[in-house]
Amino acid sequence: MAYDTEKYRKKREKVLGMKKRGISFGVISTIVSICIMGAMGFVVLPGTIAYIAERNLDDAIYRLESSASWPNEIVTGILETEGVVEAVTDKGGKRLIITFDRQEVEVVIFSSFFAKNGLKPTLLNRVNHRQRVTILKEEKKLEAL
Amino acid sequence: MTDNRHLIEIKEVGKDYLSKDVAVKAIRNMDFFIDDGEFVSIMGQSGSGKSTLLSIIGGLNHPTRGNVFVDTLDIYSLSSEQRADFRSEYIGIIFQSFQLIPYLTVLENVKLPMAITGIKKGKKKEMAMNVLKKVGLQEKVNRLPDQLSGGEQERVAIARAIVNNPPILLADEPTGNLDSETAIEVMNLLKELNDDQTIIMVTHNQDMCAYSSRTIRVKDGECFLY
Repeated sequence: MAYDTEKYRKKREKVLGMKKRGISFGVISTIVSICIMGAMGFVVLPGTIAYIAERNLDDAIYRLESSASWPNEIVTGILETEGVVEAVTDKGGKRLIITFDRQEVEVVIFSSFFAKNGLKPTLLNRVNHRQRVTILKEEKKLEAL
Repeated sequence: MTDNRHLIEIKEVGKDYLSKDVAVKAIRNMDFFIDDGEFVSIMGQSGSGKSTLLSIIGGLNHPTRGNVFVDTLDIYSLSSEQRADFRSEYIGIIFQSFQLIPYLTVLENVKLPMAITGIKKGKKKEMAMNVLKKVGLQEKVNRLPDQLSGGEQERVAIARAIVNNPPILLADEPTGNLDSETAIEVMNLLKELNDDQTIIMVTHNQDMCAYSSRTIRVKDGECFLY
């Protein structure tokens, strides 16, 4: 009988792997790995990004000696200082909290700025920004109880 | 695609075995082809290399030299996974000693080659029943091998070999363990199967060669075509 190469084409293609037979183990394991890594990334990534962004930030907390409220122009003026990320007042405007990048600016710069404006505030505390945010969150929780 | 126009092409195939640091040439340079639908006997004395040749054709034994093309596939250039697929798709093997699993029923033995094919359970049973009907054992599907005669066990082995519908059937001394009457029955069955399958049979019995369309004689690892 003459041999016809077309007769066993399907078998040949199956042997050569040209005919797909379901999803291979490699594809399944890749999909599962991507899902696991994606889920882990979803949980871990926001925290990691926040840490990278905030790891060099410190908070300096000031109070005026007279316990007076902080003038708005001082708050806006300190905000214009290079390295300052945020400057806000609390406790009825009596405390000034400056969030700054310790690699770019130091508290002596703030002291000289205050002195230039005729102020002599007290530095109540200097604390890592992330640590302070965590403490505030915990305090809020306790207040809610 | 190559220009090979025969179902099986053996090209300068040689096989050496190492015996006590001495290379024994089981097969010297063999060169022949087998066409689709042929019934070929490979005949020779014990130790002449005929079973080695059969295992090389079946993708079971890597030759030391040369190439084996089956349906244009150079089977020893394939990866081991592809070669396993090749054996599953193309080759059915009938052994002289039947090689049936003693604790499995006839039906389970025949379903065995389909275990890794991905065929659905119901379809497997249907296919197994069809081949058992073909070999005349549809009434004995639930028996264990030792509850069958030698001829019946041989027919189970044949059913198992053809259940995946392979185009090539390799038979290694299929009548070696049978009396002459049963051997003739088995040979007639093989002749019937030859309508759909290319059969390559190893034998040292001259009478059995009469059933084949061509005989390849093997002597001292060399072949002589007739």
